[in-house]
Amino acid sequence: MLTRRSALGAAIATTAACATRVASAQEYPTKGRPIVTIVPSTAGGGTDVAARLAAPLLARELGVPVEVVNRPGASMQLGLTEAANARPDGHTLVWSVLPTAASIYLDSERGSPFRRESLAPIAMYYGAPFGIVVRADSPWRSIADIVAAAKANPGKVRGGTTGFMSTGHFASIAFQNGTGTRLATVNFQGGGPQLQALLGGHIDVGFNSIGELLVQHKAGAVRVVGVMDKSRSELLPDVQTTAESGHAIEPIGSDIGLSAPVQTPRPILERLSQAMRTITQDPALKARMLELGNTVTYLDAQDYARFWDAVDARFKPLIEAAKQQAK
Amino acid sequence: MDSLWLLAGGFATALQPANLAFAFAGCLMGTLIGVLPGIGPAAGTAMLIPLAGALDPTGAIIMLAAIYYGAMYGGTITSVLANTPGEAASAVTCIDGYAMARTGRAGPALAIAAIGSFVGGIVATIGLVLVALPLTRLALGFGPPEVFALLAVGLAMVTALASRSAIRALVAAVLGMLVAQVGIDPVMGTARFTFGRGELYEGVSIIAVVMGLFGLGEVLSNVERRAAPMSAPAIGSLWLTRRDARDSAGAVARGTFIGFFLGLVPGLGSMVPTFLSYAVEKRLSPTPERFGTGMIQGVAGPETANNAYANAALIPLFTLGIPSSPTIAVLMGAFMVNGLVPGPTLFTEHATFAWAVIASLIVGNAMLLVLNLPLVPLWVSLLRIPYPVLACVVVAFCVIGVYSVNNSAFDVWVMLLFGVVGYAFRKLDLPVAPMVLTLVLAPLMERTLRQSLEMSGGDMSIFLERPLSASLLAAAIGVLVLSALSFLRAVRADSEV
Repeated sequence: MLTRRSALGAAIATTAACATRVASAQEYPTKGRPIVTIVPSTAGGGTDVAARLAAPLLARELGVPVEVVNRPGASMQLGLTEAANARPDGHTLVWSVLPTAASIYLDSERGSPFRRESLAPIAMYYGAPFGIVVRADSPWRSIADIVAAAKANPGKVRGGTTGFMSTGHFASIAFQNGTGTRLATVNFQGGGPQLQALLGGHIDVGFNSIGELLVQHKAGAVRVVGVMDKSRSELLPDVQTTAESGHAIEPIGSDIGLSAPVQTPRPILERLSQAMRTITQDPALKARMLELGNTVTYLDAQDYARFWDAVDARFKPLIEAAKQQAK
Repeated sequence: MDSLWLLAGGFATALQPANLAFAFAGCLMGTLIGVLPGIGPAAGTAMLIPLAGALDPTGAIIMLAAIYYGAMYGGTITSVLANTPGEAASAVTCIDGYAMARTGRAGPALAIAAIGSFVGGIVATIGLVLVALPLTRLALGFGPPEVFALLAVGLAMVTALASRSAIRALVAAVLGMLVAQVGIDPVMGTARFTFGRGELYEGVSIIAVVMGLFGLGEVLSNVERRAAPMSAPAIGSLWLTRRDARDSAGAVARGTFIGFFLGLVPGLGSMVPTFLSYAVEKRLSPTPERFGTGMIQGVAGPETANNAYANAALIPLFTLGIPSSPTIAVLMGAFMVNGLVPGPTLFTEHATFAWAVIASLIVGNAMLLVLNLPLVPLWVSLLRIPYPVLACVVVAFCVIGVYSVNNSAFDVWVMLLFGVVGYAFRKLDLPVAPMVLTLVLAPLMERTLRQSLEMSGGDMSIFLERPLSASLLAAAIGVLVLSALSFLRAVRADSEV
């Protein structure tokens, strides 16, 4: 009796699963069924705000509700893993943040089940370059000033980061590697605490995303002395880039895109990529994102995948250096 | 004086019917969110962020802020009624609040919590108006070494959480520290005791532990007493007696002070001020041995500190644009979704908005009092529900609440495990509060200790070279010596019996 019932149940389940799979490949998205986009960090953070700005536009484009769900934890590993294990029907997606996502699997000691192959990239959404920042009353006005101070007192200039193995930490390492200096690295838990320590004079220089520094820079509380990018930021046109400084400092920034579980059928990925292309051309969205220090940069699935591979290659040595420095 | 004029303008906006309605809705939702065990202010505001994007910015922020401090108050209700803190900050209220409820004094406990929250909230908001900028500058002087020294003072006071025996409190405190070791270490990134589970990377969820130790542990140990009639405790007078008022006045004043100042210090979280206030009240009391048996000061102090902290913690957000706690970070997200970037420019670029929100904090705190005092009899009457039913409801809400914080089923298992631990603690007559305290303090202390040493290149003298941290450490040693002396006296008294 029991076996018959479970056999029947299995049969029904299989049929249902097949039915949805067929339906999802033919017409996507399924009418009335919401698309869940996972933000692998907390509500109210940078990625979350950007995702919530995009969600209503995506919903309009795709004709179904688009929800934003926060699954924070283990520096994004939990949210990314959950998305990777979701049913690949295009109704569960994730906002993938680089290089944080890459640092999960590039750090072999971590033994994470989440890999580069776990997700299929859909489209790149925006980039948030990092900046090198000092207090407004600091004598340092340029990257050269900091380099000179750090060379004069090796290991004494206190450089904050946004957390161990965070993007801010890689920024600090890239700076030290590129300029041949050594800082006393102080790891904080996020950009806010780091900024607070900088304002209080507990660290001498900080590495943070430009969006988090903009208000303070404009108010004259801090001074961004360098943008870790190849070209100048639209938001800080007077600030030199690391490329201009004459040192070979790796450009560092957070780049956020949309990804799906790896088995998601190609047509669905293309449909989503197309929707992302349309919404990233919306001038209102671009303007709002720029206010937050984010540059909207659309890349299609192939280009985003190539971009991701390049990030893997660039950050592997930085990750090893970060671990080495801690030891 | 300028700020007073601007504040008057803020009132004009905050008192508009629509904004009043938003504040009221926020207070009501906040109270309910606080009442539901586990769903604290952070989860509550996060759940409502999508709503914030859809409303007019001023109204949305007024409502979210009201939810935030409403939840801080609401957390008290279940602490008093069922020993189940609605959010982590109310854990310390369980000790005397629940004891009061068991002796039929749930009414006065809830009333003083509402009044204390009101006083703390209003004073902190006035502080925001008058002295925000100089104070934030002062608070910025608190770098990692100072925060570490401040936490050391808190840790030295741990024996204040002892019910009878200091040794038992220390045993619980050490267990808390051990549990706090779970997770990625903050400097080297090494995984400690995570057993390959990603869920443990950021340590054990404090909310889950608190719910388990207090709420579930209490239910388990009550269920066991089947022979005893499970009738609700007698419900005595609902209002404060003159004596209650006299007893709590000092506690409310000190709680306001503690909550306000600790609210300005970055990254402390809401549990440190409530606990510190409790410890101070116990130390100053002529009858410290009666704490834990339903002393109204043990509710008045922490509950006041809780709301003073909640409102003061908004100051760094307004003046610096830096969120000082996870909940405030959520609130900051709501600002940004609405196109308002908090920070030094907020008062110049969005003056009307900023002052309206500040005025709404005063309006909202008053509303919270008006809303909650009449509700006291209603909450107290919940105790008339037969215990077997109430116990099921408490367990159900604990599970839902803990799950909802991170949408994580793993946290539910953590809570169940610590429910059993809480039950064992009751059997062994170990107090649970010191364990929660060290669980909260240890990661903060470890992080600030290591950050301090990173700043100094490994040189310990950084703690003594900086005057503020040196004096705080001296205070910690002073507290430790005093506790040791009173402990020795207690031992001597015991041996004479």
